[in-house]
Amino acid sequence: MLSSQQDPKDLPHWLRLDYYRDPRPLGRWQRRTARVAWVAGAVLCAALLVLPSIGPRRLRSVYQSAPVSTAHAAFNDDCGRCHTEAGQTAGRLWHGDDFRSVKDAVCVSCHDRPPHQAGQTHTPACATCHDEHQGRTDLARVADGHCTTCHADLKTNEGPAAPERRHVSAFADKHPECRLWRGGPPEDKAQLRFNHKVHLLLNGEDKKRALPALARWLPLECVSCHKPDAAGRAMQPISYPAHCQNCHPLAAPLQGEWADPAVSQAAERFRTTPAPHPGHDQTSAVVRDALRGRYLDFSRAAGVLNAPAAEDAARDIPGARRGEPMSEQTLGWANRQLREAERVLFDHGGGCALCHVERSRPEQRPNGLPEYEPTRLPARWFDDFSRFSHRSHPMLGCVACHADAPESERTADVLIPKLDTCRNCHSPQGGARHDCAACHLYHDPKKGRGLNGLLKIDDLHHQR
Amino acid sequence: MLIDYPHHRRWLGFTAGGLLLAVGCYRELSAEPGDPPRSYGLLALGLLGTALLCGLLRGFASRSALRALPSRLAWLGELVVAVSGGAGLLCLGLFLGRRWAIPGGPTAAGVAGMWYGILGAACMLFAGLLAGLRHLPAWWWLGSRQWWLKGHIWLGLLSVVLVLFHSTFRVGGLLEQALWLVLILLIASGVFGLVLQHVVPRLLTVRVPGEVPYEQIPHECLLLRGKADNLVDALCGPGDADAAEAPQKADPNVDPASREALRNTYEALVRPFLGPEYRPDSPLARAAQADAVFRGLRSLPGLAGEPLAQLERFCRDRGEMGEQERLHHWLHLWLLAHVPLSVLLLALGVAHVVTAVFYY
Repeated sequence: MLSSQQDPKDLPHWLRLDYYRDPRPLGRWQRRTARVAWVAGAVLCAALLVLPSIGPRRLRSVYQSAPVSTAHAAFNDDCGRCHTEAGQTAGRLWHGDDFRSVKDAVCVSCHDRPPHQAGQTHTPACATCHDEHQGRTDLARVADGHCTTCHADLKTNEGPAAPERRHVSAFADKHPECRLWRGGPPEDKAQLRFNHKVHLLLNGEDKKRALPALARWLPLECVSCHKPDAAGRAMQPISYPAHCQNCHPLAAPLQGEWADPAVSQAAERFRTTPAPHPGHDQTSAVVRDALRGRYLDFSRAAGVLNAPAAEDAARDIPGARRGEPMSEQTLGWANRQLREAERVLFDHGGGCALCHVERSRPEQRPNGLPEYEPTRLPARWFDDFSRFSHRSHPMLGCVACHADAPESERTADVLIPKLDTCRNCHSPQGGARHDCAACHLYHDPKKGRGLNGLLKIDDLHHQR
Repeated sequence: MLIDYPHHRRWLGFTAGGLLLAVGCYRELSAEPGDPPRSYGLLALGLLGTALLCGLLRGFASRSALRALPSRLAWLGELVVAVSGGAGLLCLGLFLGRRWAIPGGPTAAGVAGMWYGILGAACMLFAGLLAGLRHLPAWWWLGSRQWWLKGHIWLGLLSVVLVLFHSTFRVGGLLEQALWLVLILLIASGVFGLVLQHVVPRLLTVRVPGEVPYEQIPHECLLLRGKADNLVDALCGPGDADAAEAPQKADPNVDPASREALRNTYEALVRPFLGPEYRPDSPLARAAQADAVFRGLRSLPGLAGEPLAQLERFCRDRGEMGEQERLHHWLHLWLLAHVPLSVLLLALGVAHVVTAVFYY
């Protein structure tokens, strides 16, 4: 009460009962502001709800929590391309997290989706592992939890997995050794004799002096033979023509001396030209046939045998082609040379037996030709679900990981490193990636449809 | 104290419990399938059971013949209930989070993330219903306004945490960023208003002992001015009278020069100050200057006495009402930002929910 309001009887005189008819500015502004706010809010809400249907497509990004991944950026504004049904997010409240807004059929319309394993008990939806709208990220790099959901306690359709691979949850400390090393030190079953130590020691200067003929191919390093494939991942398979022939040619001997310089040069060329090496599924008969042909060709050169060709009295059959006439002297000479060559190549320790393992007994060779074991060189040591890229490791020397190579003298030595070598870097302490997707694939690459997709260019740009 | 603990105890406990449950749940939502199992469920059971038992014992003790419970014991009992209950809710949250964990951690569109969003939105809607309460009768089953206001404050604050967990601490796209901005401004304005609501009423009590209804202030000012006009006319003669007539109707005890000085001062300073539009820059708005003005008037011959004292009282009352208006505006102006922001939040929130949950 004011100090001026001394008389209580006077109090009603101080109050205006119809004050509400003339509200004060503050009250008017409050009511006005509330009305305007409600109207503007309703209009804004309606605009935001209608905008996806009628507005420009690029405005749809307003509703995205984050842009789509780089691979899908071409249709970042075309939400309907993947979100084909409404209300799917709400459905997840009833069906659980496995219920995805984007159905697998939508992904498969563009992507190949090879299965993982036949024995898996549960196949997750595409969007369960490949979480979109996380920004411009790599969708293939899934979180480890998607893998360890099964692999932390692996069960298959036939029951629990084998103990050594049943519990995998972290590469650093809860990952079994590679299958290669799991049963103890592995053995390379290749039927080809090879000594890494000898070959790598050829870097020494004394060896260069001892083998001057090979000097132009020295020094020998790992990369002299082990070439990466086009993707830079694995090494190309070892082949004789590419990796061995330069130092280990199948040189064919030629008995005899010729005074004629031309013939002498031809003989020298003959001796330095290696015989062909049998390819896969071929036998030593290839060598014999090739050498026989070369000896016969050489024998026909002028001045080699100093004997005229035998006259052939037979009449030509019309239309038939006949071989070049050959004398018995020529044939006999070639066979003698061939026998000597076969002795050098097949019986001599420095011939084929230097590298190859004969499975026939020398005295029981069919048709006099030795049979060798197929080399069975492994092209890959890891299965198709594991991947390694040498191109990702250019900073390391070969011996940094393949430490046993310089001392390896046996073919049976497997020089693939153990997981502890990888963990030096691929661990929380090492700092390099150590997630599952860094080394493993989920989709079986052997069961994909390859690079031949199902779409045309217009399909990619068709807007919904 | 910003919060009156005895009166807010229940809402505070409810909010703290909800917060612990939410935090515990979120903590374990990132658990990976290979993580070691934990006995959160058993712990939660034990702790909540302890809290319930202590609560029942304390309730029984307070109602029985043991009413004369030492205050320290009662306080200890409450502490045990609070700590064990809070820890139990935390463990319950950890247990639920472990059950609902998905690989890759929680996402806004996952089941757990959506429940956080639903609960956060429910808290916001509850807070927003306070505005509609004024249009409803005071039904007993509706609860008191105080109860709703406390809920508005505590659930409004809790909603921020729930929305943080719903968003998994990401700002999201353009619409989500707008929502964050509006929410932050709304909470800031609300906290600002809460502080004002605690500080200003005390200032009103101290500075405005003769508080009048705010809506009546213009009417009261007009009355005061009318009374002041009459008082000055009685001393100096009517202001609208002729120069010849005025001295005849004036107080003969007042000197003509004093009359003129009083009239001039009144017309220049006092009458405008007493009007409905408050003039804070007037010298009469400040006590020391007003005192100086009236001291000067009292020094004039014939003017010392009750009329001048009354005029001074009128000015003092007008000054108080001006101060009351100023404090009243501080108490309510923040609502001009708070209410539109809440409506904007509602509009953006509806758009976000519909497009995220139903449209796609």
